[in-house]
Amino acid sequence: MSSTTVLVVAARHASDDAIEAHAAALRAAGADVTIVDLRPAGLAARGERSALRAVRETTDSWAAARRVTRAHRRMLAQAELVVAADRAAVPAVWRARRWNPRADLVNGVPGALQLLAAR
Amino acid sequence: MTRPPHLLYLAWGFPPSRAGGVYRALATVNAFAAAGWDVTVVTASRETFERYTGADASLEERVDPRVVVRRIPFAWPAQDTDVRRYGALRVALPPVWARLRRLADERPFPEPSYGPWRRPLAAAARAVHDDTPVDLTLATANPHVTFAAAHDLWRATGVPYVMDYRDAWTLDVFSGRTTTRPRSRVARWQATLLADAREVWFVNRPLRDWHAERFPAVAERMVVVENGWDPALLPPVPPATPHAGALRFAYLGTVTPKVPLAELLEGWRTAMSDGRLPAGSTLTLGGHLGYFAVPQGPLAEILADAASYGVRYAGPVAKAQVADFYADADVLVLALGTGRYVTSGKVYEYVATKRPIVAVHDPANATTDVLAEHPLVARVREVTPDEVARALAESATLAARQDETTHAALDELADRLRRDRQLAPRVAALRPREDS
Repeated sequence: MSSTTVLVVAARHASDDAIEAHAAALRAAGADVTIVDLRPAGLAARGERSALRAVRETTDSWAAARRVTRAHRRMLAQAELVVAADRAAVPAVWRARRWNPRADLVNGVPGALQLLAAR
Repeated sequence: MTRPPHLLYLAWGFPPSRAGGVYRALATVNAFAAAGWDVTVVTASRETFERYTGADASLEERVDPRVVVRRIPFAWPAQDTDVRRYGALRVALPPVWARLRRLADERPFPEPSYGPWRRPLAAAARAVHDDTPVDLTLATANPHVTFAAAHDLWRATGVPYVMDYRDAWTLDVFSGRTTTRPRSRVARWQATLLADAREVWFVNRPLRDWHAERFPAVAERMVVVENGWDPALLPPVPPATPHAGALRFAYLGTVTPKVPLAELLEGWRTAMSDGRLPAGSTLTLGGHLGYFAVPQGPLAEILADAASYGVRYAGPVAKAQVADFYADADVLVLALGTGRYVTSGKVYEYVATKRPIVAVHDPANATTDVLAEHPLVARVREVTPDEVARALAESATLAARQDETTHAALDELADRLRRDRQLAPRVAALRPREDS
C-alpha cells in the first residue's frame, strides 16, 4: 500500500538529478511521490562552510516558505507524509502542520525511508 | 566473598544497537558472566537504537541470559527528524538553536548530545548498587559520559571503575593531533577520571602508550585489551581453494570518507588493464556507503563507473550473511584511513577467514601489528594507485600459495586473535580477592 508523499525541495544548490534520486528512493520504499519545488530562481553551488553561508541558507529557508502557493497547500493538506529534502525546506514543511494535522512531517529523506520501512 | 562478584557495565551502544563498539560490549559482558560474575548492564532504550542507529534484534539474543539489562531513555533532540516537534526557534534560526542546544548539552558534562545523559545514567547506576551491591563498574566509551557516571558512583559509594576506551577522547587517531586545549573542561575531566580509575583499557599499544606518556601516574594501570573476532558471531568460513584463472577480491565494511577508495579503484583498474590480475577477476565491495541508510550519491556514482573493470557493489551485508560473503572471496581487501592509532575491528574478522589479505593502508597504522605474523599479506608501502596495483598482483600469487604450513600458521593466529582470548586475562585479574 503506497503512502501519499510530498517531497519539498528548497535548497539553491539542489540539482534536478539529486531531487530525482531522492524521489526514486522514496518510491522504491513504497511512496507515491509529488514534488513541491521551492528552489529560488538562481541556483548556485553550496560553497564552503562559513557564517555567511549559514546566514544565506537561513534567509533562503524563510523565502522558500513564502513561495508556497495555494496549489502547494492543497497537495500538502492531502499528504500522508511530507518530507523536507534539505534544510531550506524545513520551515515550509513546519508550516504544513497548519493545513495537515495528521501527516508525518519529516526532516530528511533518510528519516522518511525509516518511517516508510516501518509502515 | 560468599556471593558472586557483581559487575555493573555502563554503555550507550548495546544490543540491539548496530552501532560501532556493540560487539566489544557484547563480548565483554558475556565474558564476565561466563567467568561467574553477576552482570548488570545499564544502557539506552531499544527505541533509541531503532530510531537513530538501526537495530538488530538478533544481537540481543546473543546476550548471555544470566546478564540483566536495564534500559533508560535517551533523548537526542539534534537527531530528531519529526518536524512537528520542532519549536519556532529551531525552524527559523537553526544555527542559533544548534548552538544553544550544544551549550545546554554540555552543562552537565562536556559532550554534545550525550552530556544530559549523565544524571539519569548515574542515577540508574546508583539504583543498581542500592539493589545489589556492585563490586566493579566497567564503562565503555564513547560516549564518554559513561565514564562520568562510573566516577559519580565511585565518589558516592567507593565502587571502583574501569574505563574502556574503544577509541580516543582527546586524540584524533587519524591525524595524531590533540583535539582539546590542556586546560579545557574536557582535558580536566579526563585527567580526573583517569586518576581515580582502577584500570584503563585501550584497543592497541599506540593508544595506550600515547595516554601513558601524558598521564604517567596512571601508566601502570593502563592495559591493552585488543578487539578480536567473535566465534559466536562468525560461523566457520570454508577455506579458499587455490585455483587458476579469475580471482574474487572482496572488501567488507562501511565506506567512509577516510577509506582510500579512489586509490583502491585506480590501482585495481591499473592491475586489471595491464594483466597483472587474471582476466575476469572481480572486486566486490559490501557494506554501507557513508553513514546513512541511503547510499551517498557521489560514492555510489564512483562505484557505478568502476563496474566496467570488474568492480561490484553488493550493498549492505546482514550479519547472518557475512560468512557467505567471505566464502565467496579468494582474497580480502583491507582498506583503511591513515592513522598511527588506527586498528579497525574488521582486521580480526579477516584473519578468522584465513584468506590472503591485501593491506591498503599506511604501514604505520596499528593494524600492521595485528597482521605482523599473518603469512599471506600483501602490503602497500604507501597508499598510491601504483602501490595498490603492485600489492593486488602480489596477493594473486599468495592466493596460489596455501599449503599445510600456511594453514597451520593461519589457524594459530586466528585462535590467538579471538576476542574472548583478549578479555580473559583482565576478567581474571579484576576478580575481587576471596578474602575481600
